[in-house]
Amino acid sequence: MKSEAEFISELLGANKKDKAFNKLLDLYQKRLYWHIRKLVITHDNANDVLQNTFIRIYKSLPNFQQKSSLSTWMFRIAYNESMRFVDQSKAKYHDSLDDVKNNYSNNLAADSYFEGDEIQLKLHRILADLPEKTRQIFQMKYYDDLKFREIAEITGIHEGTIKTYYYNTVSTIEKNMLNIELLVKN
Amino acid sequence: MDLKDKNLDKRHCKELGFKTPDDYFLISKNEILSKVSKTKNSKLISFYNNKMVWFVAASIALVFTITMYKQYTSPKIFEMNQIVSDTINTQKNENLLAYSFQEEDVLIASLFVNEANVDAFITNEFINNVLADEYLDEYIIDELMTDDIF
Repeated sequence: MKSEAEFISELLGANKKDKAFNKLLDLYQKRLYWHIRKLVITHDNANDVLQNTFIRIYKSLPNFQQKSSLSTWMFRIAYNESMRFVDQSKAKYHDSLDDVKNNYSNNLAADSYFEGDEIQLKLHRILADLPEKTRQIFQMKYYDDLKFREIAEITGIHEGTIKTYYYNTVSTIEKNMLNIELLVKN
Repeated sequence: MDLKDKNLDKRHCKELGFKTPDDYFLISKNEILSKVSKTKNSKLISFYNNKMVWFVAASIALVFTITMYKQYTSPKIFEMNQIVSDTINTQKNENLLAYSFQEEDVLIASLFVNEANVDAFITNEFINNVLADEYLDEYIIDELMTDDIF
Protein backbone atom coordinates (compact mmCIF):
# COMPACT_ATOMS: atom_id res chain seq x y z
CA MET A 1 0.00 0.00 0.00
CA LYS A 2 1.26 3.46 -0.93
CA SER A 3 2.04 6.01 1.73
CA GLU A 4 0.18 9.33 1.74
CA ALA A 5 3.38 11.11 0.69
CA GLU A 6 3.72 8.89 -2.40
CA PHE A 7 0.05 9.34 -3.24
CA ILE A 8 0.33 13.12 -2.92
CA SER A 9 3.42 13.21 -5.14
CA GLU A 10 1.45 11.27 -7.79
CA LEU A 11 -1.42 13.79 -7.50
CA LEU A 12 0.97 16.69 -7.86
CA GLY A 13 3.03 15.15 -10.66
CA ALA A 14 2.07 15.21 -14.33
CA ASN A 15 2.44 11.52 -15.27
CA LYS A 16 0.05 9.75 -12.89
CA LYS A 17 -2.14 12.69 -11.91
CA ASP A 18 -5.33 11.47 -13.63
CA LYS A 19 -5.03 7.96 -12.23
CA ALA A 20 -4.29 9.33 -8.77
CA PHE A 21 -7.27 11.72 -8.95
CA ASN A 22 -9.51 8.80 -9.92
CA LYS A 23 -8.27 6.98 -6.83
CA LEU A 24 -8.86 10.12 -4.75
CA LEU A 25 -12.51 10.09 -5.85
CA ASP A 26 -12.87 6.43 -4.86
CA LEU A 27 -11.42 7.17 -1.43
CA TYR A 28 -13.19 10.41 -0.56
CA GLN A 29 -16.30 10.84 -2.71
CA LYS A 30 -18.69 9.24 -0.21
CA ARG A 31 -17.12 10.76 2.89
CA LEU A 32 -17.28 14.24 1.40
CA TYR A 33 -20.81 13.71 0.03
CA TRP A 34 -22.19 12.79 3.47
CA HIS A 35 -20.27 15.64 5.11
CA ILE A 36 -21.77 18.11 2.61
CA ARG A 37 -25.25 16.55 2.72
CA LYS A 38 -25.58 17.26 6.45
CA LEU A 39 -24.58 20.87 5.90
CA VAL A 40 -26.83 21.65 2.92
CA ILE A 41 -29.51 19.01 3.74
CA THR A 42 -31.01 18.17 0.32
CA HIS A 43 -29.52 15.66 -2.09
CA ASP A 44 -29.66 18.00 -5.12
CA ASN A 45 -27.78 20.74 -3.30
CA ALA A 46 -25.26 18.24 -1.94
CA ASN A 47 -24.66 16.92 -5.46
CA ASP A 48 -23.93 20.43 -6.80
CA VAL A 49 -21.63 21.30 -3.91
CA LEU A 50 -19.81 17.94 -4.15
CA GLN A 51 -19.02 18.53 -7.84
CA ASN A 52 -17.81 22.06 -7.15
CA THR A 53 -15.71 20.73 -4.28
CA PHE A 54 -13.88 18.15 -6.41
CA ILE A 55 -13.29 20.64 -9.23
CA ARG A 56 -11.86 23.08 -6.69
CA ILE A 57 -9.71 20.30 -5.21
CA TYR A 58 -8.37 19.45 -8.67
CA LYS A 59 -7.58 23.09 -9.46
CA SER A 60 -6.04 23.73 -6.02
CA LEU A 61 -3.83 20.63 -5.91
CA PRO A 62 -0.74 22.53 -7.15
CA ASN A 63 -1.20 24.90 -4.17
CA PHE A 64 -1.52 22.12 -1.57
CA GLN A 65 1.30 22.89 0.86
CA GLN A 66 0.90 19.72 2.98
CA LYS A 67 0.59 21.70 6.21
CA SER A 68 -2.35 19.45 7.10
CA SER A 69 -3.23 15.93 5.98
CA LEU A 70 -4.74 15.50 2.52
CA SER A 71 -8.01 14.35 4.12
CA THR A 72 -8.29 17.44 6.37
CA TRP A 73 -7.41 19.73 3.47
CA MET A 74 -10.19 18.20 1.34
CA PHE A 75 -12.72 18.37 4.17
CA ARG A 76 -11.84 22.03 4.63
CA ILE A 77 -12.52 22.72 0.95
CA ALA A 78 -15.83 20.81 1.16
CA TYR A 79 -16.81 22.69 4.34
CA ASN A 80 -15.98 26.08 2.77
CA GLU A 81 -17.89 25.24 -0.42
CA SER A 82 -20.91 24.19 1.66
CA MET A 83 -20.78 27.34 3.77
CA ARG A 84 -20.52 29.47 0.62
CA PHE A 85 -23.64 27.73 -0.71
CA VAL A 86 -25.52 28.18 2.59
CA ASP A 87 -24.55 31.86 2.79
CA GLN A 88 -25.67 32.46 -0.81
CA SER A 89 -29.01 30.80 -0.04
CA LYS A 90 -29.44 32.98 3.06
CA ALA A 91 -28.62 36.13 1.09
CA LYS A 92 -30.93 35.08 -1.74
CA TYR A 93 -33.94 34.63 0.48
CA HIS A 94 -33.00 37.35 3.07
CA ASP A 95 -33.46 34.86 5.87
CA SER A 96 -33.82 36.01 9.45
CA LEU A 97 -32.38 33.82 12.23
CA ASP A 98 -35.77 32.17 12.76
CA ASP A 99 -36.02 31.48 9.05
CA VAL A 100 -32.60 29.83 9.12
CA LYS A 101 -33.84 27.47 11.84
CA ASN A 102 -36.98 26.74 9.88
CA ASN A 103 -34.95 26.24 6.72
CA TYR A 104 -33.43 23.05 8.08
CA SER A 105 -36.89 21.49 8.50
CA ASN A 106 -38.22 22.99 5.26
CA ASN A 107 -35.26 21.64 3.28
CA LEU A 108 -35.82 18.19 4.76
CA ALA A 109 -39.49 18.28 3.86
CA ALA A 110 -38.66 19.39 0.31
CA ASP A 111 -36.01 16.73 -0.22
CA SER A 112 -37.35 13.79 -2.22
CA TYR A 113 -34.40 11.70 -0.98
CA PHE A 114 -35.32 11.95 2.68
CA GLU A 115 -37.35 9.10 4.09
CA GLY A 116 -37.30 9.61 7.81
CA ASP A 117 -39.45 7.74 10.30
CA GLU A 118 -40.80 9.30 13.48
CA ILE A 119 -37.60 8.94 15.53
CA GLN A 120 -35.42 10.26 12.69
CA LEU A 121 -37.69 13.27 12.28
CA LYS A 122 -37.46 13.97 16.02
CA LEU A 123 -33.65 13.75 15.85
CA HIS A 124 -33.63 16.22 12.99
CA ARG A 125 -35.85 18.58 14.97
CA ILE A 126 -33.40 18.47 17.86
CA LEU A 127 -30.52 19.15 15.46
CA ALA A 128 -32.43 22.02 13.83
CA ASP A 129 -32.86 23.66 17.25
CA LEU A 130 -29.11 23.66 17.88
CA PRO A 131 -27.00 26.71 16.98
CA GLU A 132 -25.51 26.22 13.50
CA LYS A 133 -21.84 25.86 14.57
CA THR A 134 -22.71 23.53 17.45
CA ARG A 135 -24.71 21.30 15.12
CA GLN A 136 -21.88 21.23 12.58
CA ILE A 137 -19.33 20.26 15.23
CA PHE A 138 -21.55 17.46 16.55
CA GLN A 139 -22.15 16.10 13.05
CA MET A 140 -18.48 16.21 12.09
CA LYS A 141 -17.48 14.33 15.21
CA TYR A 142 -20.36 11.87 15.49
CA TYR A 143 -21.21 11.12 11.83
CA ASP A 144 -18.05 12.03 9.89
CA ASP A 145 -15.82 10.44 12.53
CA LEU A 146 -13.33 13.32 12.43
CA LYS A 147 -10.88 14.01 15.26
CA PHE A 148 -11.25 17.16 17.39
CA ARG A 149 -7.94 18.45 15.98
CA GLU A 150 -9.20 17.92 12.42
CA ILE A 151 -12.51 19.71 13.15
CA ALA A 152 -10.52 22.62 14.59
CA GLU A 153 -8.46 22.84 11.38
CA ILE A 154 -11.54 22.62 9.16
CA THR A 155 -13.72 25.15 10.99
CA GLY A 156 -11.01 27.43 12.37
CA ILE A 157 -12.49 27.12 15.89
CA HIS A 158 -10.20 26.39 18.87
CA GLU A 159 -9.95 22.68 19.73
CA GLY A 160 -10.88 23.24 23.40
CA THR A 161 -14.04 25.14 22.40
CA ILE A 162 -14.98 22.34 20.02
CA LYS A 163 -14.69 19.72 22.78
CA THR A 164 -16.90 21.80 25.09
CA TYR A 165 -19.52 22.30 22.34
CA TYR A 166 -19.49 18.61 21.44
CA TYR A 167 -19.92 17.17 24.94
CA ASN A 168 -22.67 19.68 25.78
CA THR A 169 -24.47 18.78 22.54
CA VAL A 170 -24.21 15.03 23.17
CA SER A 171 -25.71 15.55 26.61
CA THR A 172 -28.57 17.67 25.17
CA ILE A 173 -29.33 15.16 22.43
CA GLU A 174 -29.25 12.19 24.81
CA LYS A 175 -31.75 13.85 27.13
CA ASN A 176 -34.05 14.78 24.27
CA MET A 177 -33.79 11.39 22.60
CA LEU A 178 -34.60 9.67 25.89
CA ASN A 179 -37.73 11.76 26.13
CA ILE A 180 -38.59 10.91 22.53
CA GLU A 181 -38.07 7.16 23.10
CA LEU A 182 -40.29 7.33 26.17
CA LEU A 183 -42.92 9.21 24.18
CA VAL A 184 -42.77 6.70 21.32
CA LYS A 185 -43.02 3.73 23.72
CA ASN A 186 -46.03 5.26 25.50
CA MET B 1 -16.67 -0.55 -1.26
CA ASP B 2 -14.74 -0.79 1.99
CA LEU B 3 -16.15 -1.37 5.46
CA LYS B 4 -15.81 2.27 6.48
CA ASP B 5 -17.89 3.42 3.49
CA LYS B 6 -20.57 0.78 4.24
CA ASN B 7 -20.83 2.00 7.84
CA LEU B 8 -20.99 5.57 6.61
CA ASP B 9 -23.92 4.79 4.28
CA LYS B 10 -25.70 2.73 6.92
CA ARG B 11 -25.35 5.41 9.57
CA HIS B 12 -26.63 8.24 7.39
CA CYS B 13 -29.50 6.19 5.98
CA LYS B 14 -30.63 4.50 9.19
CA GLU B 15 -30.06 7.26 11.72
CA LEU B 16 -30.77 10.33 9.61
CA GLY B 17 -33.12 8.93 6.95
CA PHE B 18 -31.02 10.31 4.07
CA LYS B 19 -31.16 8.43 0.76
CA THR B 20 -29.41 8.76 -2.58
CA PRO B 21 -30.58 7.84 -6.11
CA ASP B 22 -29.58 4.40 -7.46
CA ASP B 23 -25.96 4.26 -8.67
CA TYR B 24 -25.60 7.87 -7.59
CA PHE B 25 -21.92 7.66 -6.62
CA LEU B 26 -20.93 5.99 -9.90
CA ILE B 27 -22.83 8.56 -11.99
CA SER B 28 -21.51 11.42 -9.87
CA LYS B 29 -17.92 10.18 -10.21
CA ASN B 30 -18.21 10.14 -14.02
CA GLU B 31 -19.72 13.64 -14.03
CA ILE B 32 -16.91 14.97 -11.85
CA LEU B 33 -14.23 13.34 -14.05
CA SER B 34 -15.90 14.77 -17.16
CA LYS B 35 -15.99 18.29 -15.66
CA VAL B 36 -12.39 18.00 -14.49
CA SER B 37 -11.38 16.86 -17.98
CA LYS B 38 -13.09 19.93 -19.50
CA THR B 39 -11.27 22.17 -17.01
CA LYS B 40 -7.99 20.49 -17.96
CA ASN B 41 -8.57 20.89 -21.71
CA SER B 42 -9.57 24.52 -21.39
CA LYS B 43 -6.38 25.01 -19.41
CA LEU B 44 -4.28 23.46 -22.20
CA ILE B 45 -5.62 25.78 -24.88
CA SER B 46 -5.72 28.77 -22.60
CA PHE B 47 -4.16 31.58 -24.63
CA TYR B 48 -3.85 34.07 -21.86
CA ASN B 49 -1.92 31.91 -19.41
CA ASN B 50 0.99 31.38 -21.80
CA LYS B 51 3.77 33.81 -20.86
CA MET B 52 5.53 33.29 -24.20
CA VAL B 53 2.40 34.36 -26.09
CA TRP B 54 2.13 37.47 -23.92
CA PHE B 55 5.77 38.30 -24.59
CA VAL B 56 5.39 37.91 -28.37
CA ALA B 57 2.15 39.94 -28.39
CA ALA B 58 3.77 42.72 -26.36
CA SER B 59 6.79 42.78 -28.71
CA ILE B 60 4.57 43.05 -31.81
CA ALA B 61 2.56 45.83 -30.17
CA LEU B 62 5.78 47.69 -29.29
CA VAL B 63 7.22 47.43 -32.83
CA PHE B 64 3.89 48.53 -34.30
CA THR B 65 3.65 51.51 -31.95
CA ILE B 66 7.21 52.65 -32.70
CA THR B 67 6.63 52.32 -36.47
CA MET B 68 3.42 54.32 -36.33
CA TYR B 69 4.99 56.94 -34.08
CA LYS B 70 7.96 57.37 -36.40
CA GLN B 71 5.70 57.60 -39.45
CA TYR B 72 3.34 60.23 -38.11
CA THR B 73 5.59 62.17 -35.80
CA SER B 74 5.99 65.86 -36.75
CA PRO B 75 9.44 66.98 -37.88
CA LYS B 76 11.17 69.67 -35.84
CA ILE B 77 11.24 73.22 -37.23
CA PHE B 78 15.01 73.03 -37.90
CA GLU B 79 14.37 69.95 -40.10
CA MET B 80 12.02 71.89 -42.38
CA ASN B 81 14.63 73.32 -44.77
CA GLN B 82 16.19 69.92 -45.16
CA ILE B 83 12.82 68.28 -45.87
CA VAL B 84 11.86 70.86 -48.48
CA SER B 85 15.23 70.73 -50.22
CA ASP B 86 15.23 66.92 -50.13
CA THR B 87 11.80 66.91 -51.73
CA ILE B 88 12.94 69.31 -54.45
CA ASN B 89 16.11 67.31 -55.07
CA THR B 90 14.11 64.13 -55.38
CA GLN B 91 11.86 65.76 -57.89
CA LYS B 92 14.83 67.12 -59.81
CA ASN B 93 16.50 63.74 -59.89
CA GLU B 94 13.37 62.19 -61.23
CA ASN B 95 12.97 64.99 -63.81
CA LEU B 96 9.78 66.07 -62.15
CA LEU B 97 11.16 69.55 -61.71
CA ALA B 98 12.50 70.73 -65.02
CA TYR B 99 13.48 74.26 -64.32
CA SER B 100 13.60 75.86 -60.96
CA PHE B 101 12.03 76.09 -57.53
CA GLN B 102 8.31 76.66 -57.78
CA GLU B 103 5.55 77.46 -55.28
CA GLU B 104 4.03 74.00 -55.78
CA ASP B 105 7.15 72.46 -54.33
CA VAL B 106 6.33 73.92 -50.95
CA LEU B 107 2.81 72.54 -51.31
CA ILE B 108 4.17 69.12 -52.27
CA ALA B 109 6.55 69.20 -49.34
CA SER B 110 3.69 70.21 -47.07
CA LEU B 111 2.03 66.88 -47.77
CA PHE B 112 4.83 65.22 -45.81
CA VAL B 113 4.92 67.49 -42.80
CA ASN B 114 2.73 68.89 -40.10
CA GLU B 115 0.55 71.85 -41.13
CA ALA B 116 1.74 74.08 -38.29
CA ASN B 117 5.35 73.48 -39.30
CA VAL B 118 4.55 74.36 -42.93
CA ASP B 119 2.96 77.61 -41.79
CA ALA B 120 5.99 78.39 -39.69
CA PHE B 121 8.28 77.63 -42.63
CA ILE B 122 6.27 79.81 -45.05
CA THR B 123 6.21 82.70 -42.57
CA ASN B 124 9.93 82.36 -42.09
CA GLU B 125 10.54 82.29 -45.86
CA PHE B 126 8.28 85.30 -46.31
CA ILE B 127 10.18 87.35 -43.71
CA ASN B 128 13.61 86.26 -45.00
CA ASN B 129 13.04 86.61 -48.72
CA VAL B 130 9.95 88.64 -49.70
CA LEU B 131 10.14 91.25 -46.94
CA ALA B 132 13.90 91.52 -47.27
CA ASP B 133 13.59 92.03 -51.05
CA GLU B 134 10.86 94.58 -50.52
CA TYR B 135 13.01 96.43 -48.00
CA LEU B 136 15.94 96.36 -50.44
CA ASP B 137 13.80 97.76 -53.28
CA GLU B 138 12.58 100.60 -51.10
CA TYR B 139 16.16 101.38 -50.02
CA ILE B 140 17.37 101.53 -53.66
CA ILE B 141 14.46 103.76 -54.72
CA ASP B 142 15.13 106.04 -51.76
CA GLU B 143 18.82 106.21 -52.67
CA LEU B 144 18.06 106.93 -56.35
CA MET B 145 15.52 109.58 -55.45
CA THR B 146 18.03 111.17 -53.15
CA ASP B 147 20.70 111.11 -55.85
CA ASP B 148 18.29 112.63 -58.35
CA ILE B 149 17.33 115.48 -56.01
CA PHE B 150 20.81 116.33 -54.95
